[in-house]
Amino acid sequence: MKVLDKLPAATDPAASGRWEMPSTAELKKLAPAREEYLFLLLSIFIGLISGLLVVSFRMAIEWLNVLMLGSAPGARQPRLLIAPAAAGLAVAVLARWVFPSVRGSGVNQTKAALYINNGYISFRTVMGKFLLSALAIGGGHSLGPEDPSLQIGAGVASLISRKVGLSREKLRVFAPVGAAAGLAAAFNAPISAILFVIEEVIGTWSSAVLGSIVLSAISSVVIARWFWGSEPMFRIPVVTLRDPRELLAYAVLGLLGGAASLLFTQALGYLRPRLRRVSANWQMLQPAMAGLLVGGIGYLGFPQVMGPGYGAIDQAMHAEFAWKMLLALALLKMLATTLSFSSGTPGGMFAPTLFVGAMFGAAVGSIEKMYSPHFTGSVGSYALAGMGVLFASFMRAPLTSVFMVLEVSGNYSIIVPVILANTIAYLFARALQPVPIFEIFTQQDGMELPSMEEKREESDLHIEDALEPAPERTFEGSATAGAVIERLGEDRPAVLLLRCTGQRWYAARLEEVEKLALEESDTAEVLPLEERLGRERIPILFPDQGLDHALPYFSRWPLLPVSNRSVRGAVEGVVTLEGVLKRYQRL
Amino acid sequence: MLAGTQEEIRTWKRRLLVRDSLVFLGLIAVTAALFLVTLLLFRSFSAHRVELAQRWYSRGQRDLTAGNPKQAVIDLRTALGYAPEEKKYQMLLAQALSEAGDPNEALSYFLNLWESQPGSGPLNLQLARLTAKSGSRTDAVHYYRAAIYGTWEGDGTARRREVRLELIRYLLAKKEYATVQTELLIAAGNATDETPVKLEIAGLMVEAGEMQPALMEYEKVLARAPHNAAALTGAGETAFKLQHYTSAQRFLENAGRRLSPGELDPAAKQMLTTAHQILALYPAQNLSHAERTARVMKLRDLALARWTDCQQNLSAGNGVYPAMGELTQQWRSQGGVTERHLRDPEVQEQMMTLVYTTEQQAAQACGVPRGDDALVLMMARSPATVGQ
Repeated sequence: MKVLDKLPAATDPAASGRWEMPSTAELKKLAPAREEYLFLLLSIFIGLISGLLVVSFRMAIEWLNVLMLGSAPGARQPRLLIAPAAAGLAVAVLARWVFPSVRGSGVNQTKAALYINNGYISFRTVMGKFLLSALAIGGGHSLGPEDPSLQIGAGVASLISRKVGLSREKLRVFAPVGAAAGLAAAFNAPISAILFVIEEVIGTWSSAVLGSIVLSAISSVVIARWFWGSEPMFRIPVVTLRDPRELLAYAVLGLLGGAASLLFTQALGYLRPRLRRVSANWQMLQPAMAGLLVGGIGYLGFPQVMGPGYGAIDQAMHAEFAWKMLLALALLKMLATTLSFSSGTPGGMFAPTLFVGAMFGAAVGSIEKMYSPHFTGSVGSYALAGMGVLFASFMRAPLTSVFMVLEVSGNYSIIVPVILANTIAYLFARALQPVPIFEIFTQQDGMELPSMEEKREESDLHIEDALEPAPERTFEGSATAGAVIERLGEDRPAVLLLRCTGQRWYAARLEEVEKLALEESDTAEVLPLEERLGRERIPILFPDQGLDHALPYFSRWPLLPVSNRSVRGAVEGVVTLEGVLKRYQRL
Repeated sequence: MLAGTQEEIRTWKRRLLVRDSLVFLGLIAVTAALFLVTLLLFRSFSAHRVELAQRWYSRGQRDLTAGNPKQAVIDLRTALGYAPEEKKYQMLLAQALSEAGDPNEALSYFLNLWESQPGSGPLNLQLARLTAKSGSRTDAVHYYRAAIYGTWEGDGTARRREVRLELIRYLLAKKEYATVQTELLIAAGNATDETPVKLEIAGLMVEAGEMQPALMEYEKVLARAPHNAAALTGAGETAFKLQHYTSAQRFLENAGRRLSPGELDPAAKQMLTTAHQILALYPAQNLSHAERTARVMKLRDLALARWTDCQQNLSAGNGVYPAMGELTQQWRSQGGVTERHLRDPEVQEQMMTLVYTTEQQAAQACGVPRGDDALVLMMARSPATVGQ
């Protein structure tokens, strides 16, 4: 009845005869668990629809690629110059007048939607990202389809959750759910997608969204595999490390990857803001000029750097390039991607990062094979480890990088070298370049999005961090107020800790007990103190709970006892508002 | 008031349920529609890719046939870009790589393919050929055996037999006769009754020096196809090598009758002539007593003349042959043997032993003989089989 009292008159079906959605608060009271169920069910639909869109997106890219660059792009083909330039021009025109929010890779845009726009991504942005990224990547720009897929997924989630009418809180968390779905379908790797979204978009492990993220990622991968098959993206022979010295080569790869990521980051960090400073008209020409330059690289004999470059990664894994060619391709890909991305052409950084990593890895593998042919690691295994290395150091997603390598190859025998190389690369790159690339882009765009790297490493405070010793004297709730006052004697603390029945506690202020003792003396009926204090008891807190968990209770209780999980009713210590604030200030 | 309010709450809940159900129905409809559209597009997309792959594969085939393996490699790589899992394309690319003069790259490519299908017969065979070319005997034999026991499309038995015969040829080239014998035994045991197969196995047995089993294989063929000229020729040549000159003559004459003039190969012809000549000299048991005695006498004179010449040559060149004295002594002791004595079969036997010993010793002391002496020497190697 209270609910109905709060419902607006217009929503009364009898009065208006039409259905209007009650407010979020009203809905929560009408059907408290509805949103949770919807959240999970919608995650599946988000996964399915994102998967379908990403499959279409990849098809669009490949179709456009064949149409624009021909079925076998090769050096000295004039269309290699024309197609990316023309695609760049078309993209620039459409981005300026039709789809103004499609610039960038999609990762930062999704984060912005999550942290700034309450999870809002417009349908136009999703369409624009789909069309313009497909045109740019299919036209030969050195960009990848994964990050746009991530934003497309997030956009789908945003659209669906808006249409269903979920609360603002849920609207926000749906963006990463969709992002995971989009990325999982693009990569055919659900675990990596989930981890990337947690590492790079949310920043923390949140049980509230983890279930939905997993559901959507799995659903989208089911769709992607239905169309593309379940084969891993790359296949390499099983790696058997017979000689531990071989790990040295992987360590060298880690260092090289760290240095390469620094170079790549510096190049993007330098060129992107300079190109964005020019007038809007000049900016419009940039994608075309970038396309011309990237096409020029292809025309002069390196068509492998055009587009995402997965074919060339596969060739590198099968030792089809000499080490000099591999190094040339890695450096040229960095150049081409810097040009394409800095020009504002929409497209992702994932594929180019993997390309550069694979080339460096294969180069290290080839050189190692020349000097130590008895080592068991194939060039493919080095290329694969190289992909992980650059992902860890450039994207700053170390956990994702390891799982990505395992998932895209379906080969778990390479885990030890990959962990070693990735860790070295990550630490090395972090030491040389403390600000991650996505944060650099955020700053360049004038935004203040949370740093995921810092967020991941934030140490949450727990109640045990502000724990103070329990008062030496505690009192039984079964005693009378007068007896307690009498027991106190002259030394009277401001707060008394009373043990009540049912192993519960009550923190009573001294004046509260004194008042009850005074009243007790005026009446013949003497009741135990706990009965006179009413039924309210202090909430049970434990040392491992977050410190912020205690804060809401200080308005009612001056002191909160902290219980021991192993002995019910035993107090390990207490926390006070002053102690908690002091602990926070010590950070 | 209370009952009415609860009723209205129920109405709200019902409406909410209906609304959510409609939302999900809508989502199902949207998903289904999107799925259908994607499916249609995907089918068209896949068909286009298949078409492109086939086009480039055909170009690759053409270039390979035209002796342009480098261009074929480019074509086939493009084809595989559109159909990466197509085994036929992968195999042809590996072949093109091999022919393009880069066996290492071909080997690396095949090894990558092998990782995904280690039990593939054709793949193991290609790897065996490549490793054989690169000189890695152990790997080659390993891959040949893996190909023999691997999976084959179509007539697996025939393909496995062919691979085993290829392995045998490889081992023969490596002069690993002991291993060849085992493989030949298995091949012969598994072989069907098809004449070409039997003939090939018999031929390989001859190459491996396994004359007796080879002859048996030829005879098996002849039992089923008595007029098979190849089997007759093979059997004749094998019998000749076994010094079964009677059989050799029979088989080769028969072969000559089955073939048009000039078709019998020169070596077989030479063998037939030699067999004729040997049998014309040989004092076979089935000859008349007089004829046999005459032949023994002729052979005695031949051997003595050979020995005398040899002695003179050795003396002229101051050569010394250790057994010379002993053999001379034997001839001296036979000096009184006349034609009459030679009619005795026991004496004939002794005389023939001396003849054979003389020809063998003379060959050692004075070099390879010519003419009839050469024929007698051939008899001397296995006198017991000459008549077989």
